[in-house]
Amino acid sequence: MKFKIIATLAFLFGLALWSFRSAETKPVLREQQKSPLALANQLIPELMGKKDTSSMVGVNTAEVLRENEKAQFRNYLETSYVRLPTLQAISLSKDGDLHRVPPEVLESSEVFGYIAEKLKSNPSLTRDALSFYNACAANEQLITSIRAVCARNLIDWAKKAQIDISQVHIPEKILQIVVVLPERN
Amino acid sequence: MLKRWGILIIAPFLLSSCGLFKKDGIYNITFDSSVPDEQKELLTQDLEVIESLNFSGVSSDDLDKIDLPELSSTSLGNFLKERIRYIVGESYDADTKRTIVSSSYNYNPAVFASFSSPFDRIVTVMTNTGSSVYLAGKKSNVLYSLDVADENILINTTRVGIIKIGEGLFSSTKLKSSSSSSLARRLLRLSTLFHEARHSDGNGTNAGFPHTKCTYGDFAGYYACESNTNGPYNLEAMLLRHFYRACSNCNETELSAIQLAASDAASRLVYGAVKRNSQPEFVR
Repeated sequence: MKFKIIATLAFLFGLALWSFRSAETKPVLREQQKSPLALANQLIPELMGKKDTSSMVGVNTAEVLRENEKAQFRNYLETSYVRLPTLQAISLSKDGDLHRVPPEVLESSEVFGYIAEKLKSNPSLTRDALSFYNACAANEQLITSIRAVCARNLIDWAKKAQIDISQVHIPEKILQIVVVLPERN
Repeated sequence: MLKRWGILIIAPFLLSSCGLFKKDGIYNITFDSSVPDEQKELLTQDLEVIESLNFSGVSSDDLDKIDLPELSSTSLGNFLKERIRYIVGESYDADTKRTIVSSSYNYNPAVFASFSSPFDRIVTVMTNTGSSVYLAGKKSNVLYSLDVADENILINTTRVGIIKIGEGLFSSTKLKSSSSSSLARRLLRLSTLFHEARHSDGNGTNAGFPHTKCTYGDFAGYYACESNTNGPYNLEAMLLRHFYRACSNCNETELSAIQLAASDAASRLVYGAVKRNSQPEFVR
């Protein structure tokens, strides 16, 4: 009996130590690095509480493929979000020519281009993309021009998918740029 | 008799090689020998693209910012024609090509009454280098001339029309999925060209449409902002807005690049920006 208690205590201590260490080694996420999909989307009612819980039992191959695609897309959004250029990146820009568009800004066209291609081929991915655009447009650590393009995409794709985003607050300085940007057809 | 015919036939070739029959490029733009052949070829093709552009849905507000009566391939071509006469390469050094015409010149600039040049001598287009030398001269009461493409040009207006291009024009618009000859990249380069062309306008304290110091925002502390609604950045943003629509067959990444460039240009406009007189100034 005594041995059992000691063994149980030792096991629990070991478990606590392991979990503490693994938490310690996890990278500390900056606000910008948090998953854009993890952020609360309380302002977009359509994105609230609509977690897809469909069972994988009894689904056909097409559905499995769709789920895989969705998972891959979500992963892409999360990894791309942390790659979007920050204000800090601009100030550290090597060429230092701030008179022209920073190269980091143009490079992110690949991210926006990829997302657009995916949404065109699979509109069911729109909700995750809107979460991405919503988080990006609100992120003050990102370059203003990037935030404005995110806001433009948020508005255009929500309109296309007929999702109400009227409660989303887009800062005035971002909106002033958004109105200049070409709308998606 | 044969000798005479021979001379008549050979003469044009000789004159041509002397530059007397010099053939100007598209929009009468002359490339200085300092421009590498590859850049010259790309830029010439970029300029040719303008003629094929079609625009629709242009609002009066857009035109107000572009400061043009209409947006068409013809109006854009004329815009460049009036503002860019020479293109020089990165190796062109204005300091060594500069000659002092008058060291105590009394600058009392007049403003062009219309967009066409009143004098034959004045080159009717201009660029950054020309504008910079003019403004430097105005500041120090010195009248300069510049040697460009085997000519000596009097720098007596912001519209002298000498634009300097460098490798950055081609490398800064790099897109992984797009070649340098793609329509999207051509449009991105053209937007830069139009931006620079706008620096040939303006008069008085606004001569050359200089950039203003950003007092807030992403570029705070740098001269990378715009206080004119019809200045180079806003003109660029407006053109990119319409280039996006004209970019037929462009893929999503290319379209996003145009959108991002437009966003960057639009983000440079400061609060309280106003439209200013864009007529260029000149001295006799």
